[in-house]
Amino acid sequence: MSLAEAFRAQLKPRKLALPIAVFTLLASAPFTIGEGYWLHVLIFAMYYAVLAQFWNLEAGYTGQFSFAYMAYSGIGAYTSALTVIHLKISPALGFLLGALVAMVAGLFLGYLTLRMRAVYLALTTIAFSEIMRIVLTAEYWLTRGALGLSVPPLLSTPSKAPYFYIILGIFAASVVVVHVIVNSKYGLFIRAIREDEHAASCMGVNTVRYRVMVTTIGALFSGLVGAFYAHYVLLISPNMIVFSEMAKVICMSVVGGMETIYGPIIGAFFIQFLDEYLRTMNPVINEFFKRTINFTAKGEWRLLVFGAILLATIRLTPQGLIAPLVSRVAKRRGR
Amino acid sequence: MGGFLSYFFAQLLNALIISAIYALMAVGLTLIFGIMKVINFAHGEMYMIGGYTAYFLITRAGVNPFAALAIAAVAGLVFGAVVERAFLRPMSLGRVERPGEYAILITFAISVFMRNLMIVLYPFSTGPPPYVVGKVKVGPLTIGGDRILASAVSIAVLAALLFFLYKTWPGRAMRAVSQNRPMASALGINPIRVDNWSFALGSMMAAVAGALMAPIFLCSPSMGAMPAIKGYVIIVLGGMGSILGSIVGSVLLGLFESLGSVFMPDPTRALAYRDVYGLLVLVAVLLLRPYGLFGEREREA
Repeated sequence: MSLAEAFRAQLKPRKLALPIAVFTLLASAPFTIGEGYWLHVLIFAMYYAVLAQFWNLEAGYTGQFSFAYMAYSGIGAYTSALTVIHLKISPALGFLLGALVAMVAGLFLGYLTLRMRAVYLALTTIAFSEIMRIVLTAEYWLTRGALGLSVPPLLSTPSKAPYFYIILGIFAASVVVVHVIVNSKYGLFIRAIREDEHAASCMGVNTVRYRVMVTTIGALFSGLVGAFYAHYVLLISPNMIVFSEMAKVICMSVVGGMETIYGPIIGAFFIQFLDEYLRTMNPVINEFFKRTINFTAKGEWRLLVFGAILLATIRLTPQGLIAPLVSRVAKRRGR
Repeated sequence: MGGFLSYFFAQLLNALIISAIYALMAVGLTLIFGIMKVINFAHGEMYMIGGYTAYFLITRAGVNPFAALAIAAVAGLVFGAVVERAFLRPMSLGRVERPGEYAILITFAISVFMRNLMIVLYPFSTGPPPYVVGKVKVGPLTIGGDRILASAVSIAVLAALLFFLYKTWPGRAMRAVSQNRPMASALGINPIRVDNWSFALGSMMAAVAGALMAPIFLCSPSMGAMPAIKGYVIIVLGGMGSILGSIVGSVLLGLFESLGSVFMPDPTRALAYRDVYGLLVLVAVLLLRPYGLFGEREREA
């Protein structure tokens, strides 16, 4: 199926009903839950959902374990922030520029890692992220290093709702793009590459083109949400590229269920809300451990919980926590 | 010019000393990769366990520093064996659908878990007192006693490992498994047990490195990140799975880093970029020789 056919094939009322209902519900959030803290959490959940989806397209579907996604996001953020600050262009243009530069980085990394098997690719992308983080920290004169760079806001309103709709738009676009790619012939090609690259290439799949394509599209969208992050949070630092952020994105994908379309999305919302919940619960958990075993935690529990969930999921249910549940419900409904 | 030359040689000496520690990390990774075909993404956390064990034993329990070093090594050994048994065994037994991807994800998850566990338990940046007080002056360079001890112990551990691998029966069994797993198994070697030993030994070496470097670079939950990344760079340089290659790779990386700093005029930036040179070399090597400097190109059937 070509992309257009795959797109049209999805335009059936039966297939569209659920996604449209979910998106309508999401779009009404500023009116139902207000413009406070929880809208902020939703905005972040969508930021991560975009990253998790494209990471899943690259790792889950194509089998390329890239650790560079936060670096793409950071590139998008810093490109947009620096061009808006120094060249005085409008943030909207900065957005596009950020996405474009991240895309070029993805293209470069895609070609660089082309001849590599999974492990080499993982190592190279780790190296790439570390280089980005160190350079952003060291070039203090430009990026203000670890102190962080103040970024002008995208819009002049203090309201969160417009930001919410912008990220909702990016999120919706990313869902459509991933969905169409996975259901088109390209989805078959990348899965064939994952199973056996050599065999796929013998069967006439242009492995070079599709591997680079997946990386480039992922980098483009990551750069875009990175630029959004910069102009929404208004303070960016090299900590964007830090290990735990990448771990969070991977955790979302894995918990949701790799190699499914909805898995990383549900995973992103689940983990982001769990994150916020644990943040508020931290004193309670501390109190519990102090009373029971007289232990005072020095840091936050939420990160440990993610580590435990990730470890248990991969070891015990490699299909993810959420995807098997969904397929069970779907099967029952179909019967 | 004489000043520059002596500075240059001082950096060279420094490079050789630091590369002994790098070799300890890289050879551990190589041992695991050679036998299990797994890149241990939690190698930095093995380093961290060694560092923290030494720190707590020395400062809290008042254990003799050298005894603490030995206990840290044992802690790494035990931890590695437990991790292999609990998380990697299903892979060795062929119960995992995609072993390569499982190995990346599970070791990455162990790394996330251990690092965040330490954040809850003890996130402060502290280190034990130095093992050896005193300095040695070589030309313009003063080398701390701890650095000399660290490189001496590393070289001793590496020599012991090479002796073990080449001169003893269990070591030969390990090499046999790494060369031809089914054949070794047919000859009565239990490859599962060899997996367990290689993972335990590899993590022990990382723990020793961590304990040795704890007074110099201090302990923190992410203390293992950089040493582990250096290890990855080296094994790619050395061609994955070759122990001699990874020792040569360590010396090369040490040289690149020190010489890179020599030619960087701004001293604060030179320090920051020290870690970048190795990574750039990695990228360049992969660009020109995607299977490592000394790696054999794998033939695809």
